[in-house]
Amino acid sequence: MAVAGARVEQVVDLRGWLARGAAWAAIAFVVLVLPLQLEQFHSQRWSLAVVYAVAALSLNVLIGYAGQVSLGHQGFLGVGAFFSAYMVTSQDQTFWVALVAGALSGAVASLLMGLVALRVRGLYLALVTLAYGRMAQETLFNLPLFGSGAGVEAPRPEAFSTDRAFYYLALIVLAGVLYADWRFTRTKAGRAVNAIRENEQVAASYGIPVARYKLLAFVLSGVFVGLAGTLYAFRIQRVDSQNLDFNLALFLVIVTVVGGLRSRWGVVVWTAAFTLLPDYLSDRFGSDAPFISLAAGAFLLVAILVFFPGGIGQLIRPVTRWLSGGRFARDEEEDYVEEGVRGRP
Amino acid sequence: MEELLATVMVGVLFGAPYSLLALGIALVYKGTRVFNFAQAEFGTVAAFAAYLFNDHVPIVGAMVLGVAVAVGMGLAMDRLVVQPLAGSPRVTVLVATAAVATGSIALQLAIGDASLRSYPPVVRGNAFVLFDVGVEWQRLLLLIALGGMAFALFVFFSRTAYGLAVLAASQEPVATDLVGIGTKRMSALVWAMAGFAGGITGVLVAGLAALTPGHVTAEYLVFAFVAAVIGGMTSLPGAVVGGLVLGLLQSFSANYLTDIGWVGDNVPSASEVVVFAALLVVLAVRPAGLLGRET
Repeated sequence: MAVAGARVEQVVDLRGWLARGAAWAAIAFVVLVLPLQLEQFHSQRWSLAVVYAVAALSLNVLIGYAGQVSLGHQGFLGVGAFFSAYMVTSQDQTFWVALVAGALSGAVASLLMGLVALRVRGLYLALVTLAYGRMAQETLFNLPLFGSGAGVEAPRPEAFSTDRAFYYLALIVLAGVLYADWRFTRTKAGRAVNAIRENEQVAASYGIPVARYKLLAFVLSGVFVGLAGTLYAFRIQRVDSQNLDFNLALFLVIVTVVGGLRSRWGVVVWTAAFTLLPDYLSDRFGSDAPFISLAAGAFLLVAILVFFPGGIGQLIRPVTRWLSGGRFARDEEEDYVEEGVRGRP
Repeated sequence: MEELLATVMVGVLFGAPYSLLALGIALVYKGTRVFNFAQAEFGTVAAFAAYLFNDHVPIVGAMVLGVAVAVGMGLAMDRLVVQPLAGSPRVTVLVATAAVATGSIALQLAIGDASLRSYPPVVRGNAFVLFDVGVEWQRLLLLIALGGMAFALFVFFSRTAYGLAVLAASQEPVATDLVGIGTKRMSALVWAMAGFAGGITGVLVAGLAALTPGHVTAEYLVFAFVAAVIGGMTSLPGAVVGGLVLGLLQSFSANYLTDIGWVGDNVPSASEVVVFAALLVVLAVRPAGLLGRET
């Protein structure tokens, strides 16, 4: 089982802890303090990276833990985005109510897909989500309730009116999601979901209520993506269906898989990097650069899939393990290929 | 009555490109058990190549070259992506094909740009007008291409040794290898045929609208997949039927489903909802698809 840190050996050594503390401080500096220092900090870009990281973590729950592939995740992201914006604009609710409403709406949408997933399996489920995502973009998000295609305004609250403040808010949400994700994998429910992914029949024979835990995974993933959607809407303070297309769903699947299924830090790091890189490249090398980097990224993805099936998470695992107090060592017994998502459709 | 017949005709014409792409998807799934998300990208690549070749050669020649490029792309995918990933989880392979599609679109954006290109149709204008609906030559050509492709595949699988070998390789890879049929060669053959089906679709549909990077993927991929699943995923006749059924569903819902009271005057893109519902119903009632036999 590759749940991160499962085999953390506590090697308590003062020098080691000092080094780890320094590394943690450096990371905290880049993520937390640098934004305050830099004159030209691109808060909006970094916020987007955080939003996508939350969405990718949601996908990680579905694909990584539950083994259910969603190719329509932009549809769930959009539900959270539109519903939270609708709560503020049309229902005069506060941002915090909208945040909760966004999370709940994502959970409900995801739960409905979960009910479908009880019957439709494997790659066929992937197709259902694909068709759902397209239907959501073309129809659901253009309903009169959501501005008939014109989109919905999503004004930020006073306290987070600056882009920089909003970036910190997004970071707090990301931290909360990471914590929830970590706790989830440590509970009975998390183990049950993992067992169901590996083999439903065996899991059921051990008395695990398969349907219930599968739905739970969908709900958890829906809460995460609903939060991501809310942040997505309030980041640019309006939401319309235009950018919620299949490319976004593909992007999310790609960053999640390349980041490394079931490796939450790999997912976060790679999603942020892959979101930020094209923008910074185009600053430096002109407007063609993002396309070139996207093309390179896609082919890099194929290379990673062929040579490192565990993704970025597998590559950086020695580092993350070291940071959490373990040894800096490569895994020897990990067998990612066998561990992958199974199931004939 | 006229309107009904016109709706049926439009449905069949619009279903033809779905069927063509669905044939490619079903071929690849049958032969190599891969969900190929780059199927429609074979089409865009072929159309783009034809657009570039058209500077030097007349359009029909350029289209032939474009289709050849798509076949090459199919072969390259088989060699560089699918075979190295043999034995990986299916989701990994699916993501890899999706990555090829994304990379190909990004490459088109980098080489060209996001602007609209007008791509000359083979024959301009309408072939004929029937039931007050003008039938463009280009759409008629698509239907003819579908008929030709379906017939050729039928002959290939039922009358040739190679067709039999492909079927054998898909059903019992190990036993097929043992009797001396190269399963890798069969895989390459299947991917080349899928590239051909995608390429033909691409060079023809590109003449219907302006060509943009990723055009065929954006417009046709989802529907082609739904068509293939409705047809049964491994069934080639099913793929053809699925595409036509989908075209009919869209044409009927676009014509008759414009006014539903409780959501306001107009359901935006009602046909999308119908397609989604059709997929769910087929998967719930008959998971093996309309003409599929395997479960």
